[in-house]
Amino acid sequence: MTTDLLAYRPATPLQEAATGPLAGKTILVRPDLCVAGWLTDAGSQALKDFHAFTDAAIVTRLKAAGASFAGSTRMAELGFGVNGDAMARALSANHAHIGLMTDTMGEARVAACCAGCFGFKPSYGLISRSGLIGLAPSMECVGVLAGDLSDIASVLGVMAGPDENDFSMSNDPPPDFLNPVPSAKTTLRIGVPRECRDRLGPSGAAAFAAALDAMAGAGIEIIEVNLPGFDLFPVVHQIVAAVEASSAAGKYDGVRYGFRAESAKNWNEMYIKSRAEAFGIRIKAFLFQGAYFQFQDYPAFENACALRRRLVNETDDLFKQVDMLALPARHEDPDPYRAETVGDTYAAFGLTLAANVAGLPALHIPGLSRHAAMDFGLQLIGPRMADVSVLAAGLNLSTHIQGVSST
Amino acid sequence: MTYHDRSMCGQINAAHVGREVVLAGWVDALRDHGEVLFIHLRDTSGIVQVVFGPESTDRAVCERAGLLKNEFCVRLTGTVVRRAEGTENPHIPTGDVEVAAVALTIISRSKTPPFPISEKSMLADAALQRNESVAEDLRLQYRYLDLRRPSMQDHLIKRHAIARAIRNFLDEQGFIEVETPMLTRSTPEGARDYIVPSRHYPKTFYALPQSPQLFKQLLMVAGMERYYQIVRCFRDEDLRPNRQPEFTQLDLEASFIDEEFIYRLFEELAVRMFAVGGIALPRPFPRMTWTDAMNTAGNDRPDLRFGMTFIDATDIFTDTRYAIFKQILERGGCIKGINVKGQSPILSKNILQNEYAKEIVPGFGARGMTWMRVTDEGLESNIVQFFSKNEQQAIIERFGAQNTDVILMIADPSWHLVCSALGQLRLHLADRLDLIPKDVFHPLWVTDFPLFEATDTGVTSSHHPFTMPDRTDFDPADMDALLALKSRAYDLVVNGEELGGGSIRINDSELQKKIFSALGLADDDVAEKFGFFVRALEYGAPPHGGMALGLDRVVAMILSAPSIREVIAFPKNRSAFCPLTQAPAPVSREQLAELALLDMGGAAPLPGSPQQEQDPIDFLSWVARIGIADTERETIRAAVAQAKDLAARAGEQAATNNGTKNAPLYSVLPTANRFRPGTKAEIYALSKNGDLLKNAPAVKGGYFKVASVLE
Repeated sequence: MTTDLLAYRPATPLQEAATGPLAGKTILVRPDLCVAGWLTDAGSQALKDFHAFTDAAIVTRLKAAGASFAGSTRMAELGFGVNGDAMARALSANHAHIGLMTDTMGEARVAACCAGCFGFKPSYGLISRSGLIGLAPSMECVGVLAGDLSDIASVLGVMAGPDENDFSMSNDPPPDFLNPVPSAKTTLRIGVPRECRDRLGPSGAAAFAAALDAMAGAGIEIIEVNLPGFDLFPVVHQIVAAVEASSAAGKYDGVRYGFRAESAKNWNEMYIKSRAEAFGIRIKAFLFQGAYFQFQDYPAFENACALRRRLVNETDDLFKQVDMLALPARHEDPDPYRAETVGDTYAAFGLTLAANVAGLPALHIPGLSRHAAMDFGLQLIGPRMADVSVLAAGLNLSTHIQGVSST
Repeated sequence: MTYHDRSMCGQINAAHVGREVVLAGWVDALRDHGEVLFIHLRDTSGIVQVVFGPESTDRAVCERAGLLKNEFCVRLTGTVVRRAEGTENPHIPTGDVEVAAVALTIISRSKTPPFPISEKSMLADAALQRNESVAEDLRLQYRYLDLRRPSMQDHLIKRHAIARAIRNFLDEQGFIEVETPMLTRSTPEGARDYIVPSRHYPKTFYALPQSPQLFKQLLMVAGMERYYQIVRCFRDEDLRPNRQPEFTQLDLEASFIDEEFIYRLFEELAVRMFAVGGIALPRPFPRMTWTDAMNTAGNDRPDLRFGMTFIDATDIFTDTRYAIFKQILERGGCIKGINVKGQSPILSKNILQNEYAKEIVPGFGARGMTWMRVTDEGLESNIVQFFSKNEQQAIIERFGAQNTDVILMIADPSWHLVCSALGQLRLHLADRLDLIPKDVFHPLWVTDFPLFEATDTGVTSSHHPFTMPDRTDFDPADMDALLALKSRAYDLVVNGEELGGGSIRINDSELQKKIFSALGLADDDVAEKFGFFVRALEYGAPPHGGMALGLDRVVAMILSAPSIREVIAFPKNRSAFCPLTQAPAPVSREQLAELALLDMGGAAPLPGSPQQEQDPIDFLSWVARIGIADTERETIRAAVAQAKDLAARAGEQAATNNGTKNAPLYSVLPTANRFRPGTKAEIYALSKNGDLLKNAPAVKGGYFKVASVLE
């Protein structure tokens, strides 16, 4: 069963064990995460009519914790950006308490910004991606959206932890999301990269200034910092992700699943015609960029990876000066939901890519970075594996603001 | 170093015990027992074991022997000794003796070969070694090593023996071998030519011969009377697994002869050729007309090693109520069938209906297939209720049907289609049910082919336009009369494979012109293409005819080789490419310029010319295997241009980092091969129960169905 918001809706939402930490909680996924028996086409003809055989590792864990799965929302083809993604609208329409959404460029945070809820991208390697149909393996994480931060913590607590079927995961025991150790620090120091501020338009800058004022009002120390490589995050992300996408999309050959063009005379023609028709133009253009780096300019990929190390070193250094970084979640223009080209898509996600490139935890907090009627979003970005601290900071901040605004 | 006193490894035997011998060859295998080293020494005659031990060999020689590795080329001296009882090697003819080495010279060393060459075990109780798993392209790339293998040498030696048998026999029969040119002009054999540009006559081309057809006929006009040649021919045809762009044929032509001469000559010749492989062909070779071959096995090269020949059932259904048969018969069609004796336990209803009727037979071009299983109660089928009792009884009698037989019938308005589809079905079943006896050879002459075949615009020669028709009083404008003509052509078929064919030729220029006119060739066209040949026929051409035999195919059949590449020293691979020399290969602009080819390209880009700069989008489309619609082209072009800009930006930024680049970081966490020690490899459960196929766009018989790899 489908609707304009949902790609798949079970006849009755899956009611699992009535006990467990997530009993009574409903979750929306997207058709890029395997739920046994559900249509899982990742929004692409390349996976036309693909029905998942088994649950993804995290789905198994969530079911065991008593969560119900309400359906899967429509999504951009293969999860590249949010043009066509219905998660924000579905959560706004109260289809579920919680949404799970792959965050490759910042999609989960941007969708949360659009829905006016919290959106969290965990540290790279904290959540298993086994059973996730991904696009750029070194960039992507399963993000969590919810109106209530405690729901996000509960879901992470259930999902986090090693899985031998994910080839790139931390083997350390996951942090305790439900009973965090309180920080001994009295004052939170948050850095604002000057280079980022310089890139904001007038409305965005005004909104961000309001958010910084609110944070200062909550007793947070705001420190201006330098991140000289800020403009390189999109360059690195686009080159690396395009190559990874081109490689990951190689499996869509129309043999084992997905769309097959009619009447190909031979094997190669079968691939070329099937893949010509299976991919939409936006993802196709991205795959061609990846093919360009792979087959015509491989040194560009290596250069991008060298720059990636430089950017990771730069952010690591910043976290010696400050506890976290603050950035808006989006620009005013282009609108990520209307980005038609690869270039527009990257321009729309310019403020969120850093956390993906460096594998950092990032929390979107709604309502603090407004200008006129528009919420530009506020991200708190912490060091790798400091997920619990980032969530705690978000909770303190929003509690304080609510306290202020309610008095 | 001299070799005049060299003995051959394979010829050492017990009679030589006590004698000193000089041997030279390659180290086939080694076995090191510390004190004592054994090697197998191989030359073209075979293998003999050589032993280096303290009892017989100087220490210095033993030390040198310790350097030996497989495929070193060596010369050595030693004494022939009888092997100790119980250490004989039954795998090699020299296994009773060995050579105790006295002197050793390493003539040349060998790198480790890319695949094992030895085929003979050094141990009596070990299995013989086989080399079948080596990738064929690797074998072809190192063909000189592949040919060191005794089994490959045996192929070439036997091939030589077969060619010698041909030459000896034809020499006895008064045939002389004449060479014809390789650089010639295009002849109408139907395939594409390999062409060779001429430097002296810019922009003109020689063609490599598809066969010496016209030259051998000209030799008859020249009065040579009996000609043959073992000759290389070239055809640029579509790729097929068992086809080579160049191949060898025995080409033969004789004057003042008729078909009977050819039949007798080639029967004797074939018997002698097959005798080289120890095969006694049954004589005399039976003959079958083309029409009978089609009506019997649906094929102009019927495989008669097994039964299941066709039975015509058209007349049984003259008054049938079964609508499908009725309509087919009203349209002048026919119904033929085969009786698959005793196979109903294997050919279940499910297999017959769902595999054969729905999938396999439609693949042969037929619209459907009627199947009936025979039981003690009579016929059993999904449509048997549509047939009257009389029809059912007539079927049982006509097909000689007994309990457990399966009767399969194909009906169609086209006789040709019925024969062809039923013929393919017959072969399919014979293969599946393993009905073809091994080591049986069934030669057959197929005769009386149609002279012409119908095309959309007229007729075309079934064989070639120089074939003599069975009558000469036809009207070249009367299509029906032309299609009724038979040719005086014949094919020699063995086990369903055409080994060769030929015909009595036209020796009259007027008749030849009439054939050209029937083929719709304009006079000036004939004059341009065949003028030299028609003119020759005007100078007292004798009656003549001949035959050509595909030598590679015959040798492969005699030697039971799995492909003709196994009996050719330096073949191309399945893709008509030579992995050894990397041919075909580009040539330089200078060469093309010298041949005046640079400005001949027209629409197609020429090698080395600026136009060859292929649109990079098309290159990426090919390597990524993603097609582009015309409407998408500009978007893709812009995206690739942006990718280029990004690459430039990344290059600039990576380099300006204090002059040194960081080591690339591919992922913020190391990726791990998640090998799971302690788990056992097993077939994935979803694969075992067939669920993996559920999401596939096309499935056939438990497998993913894909387009063919080769056209």
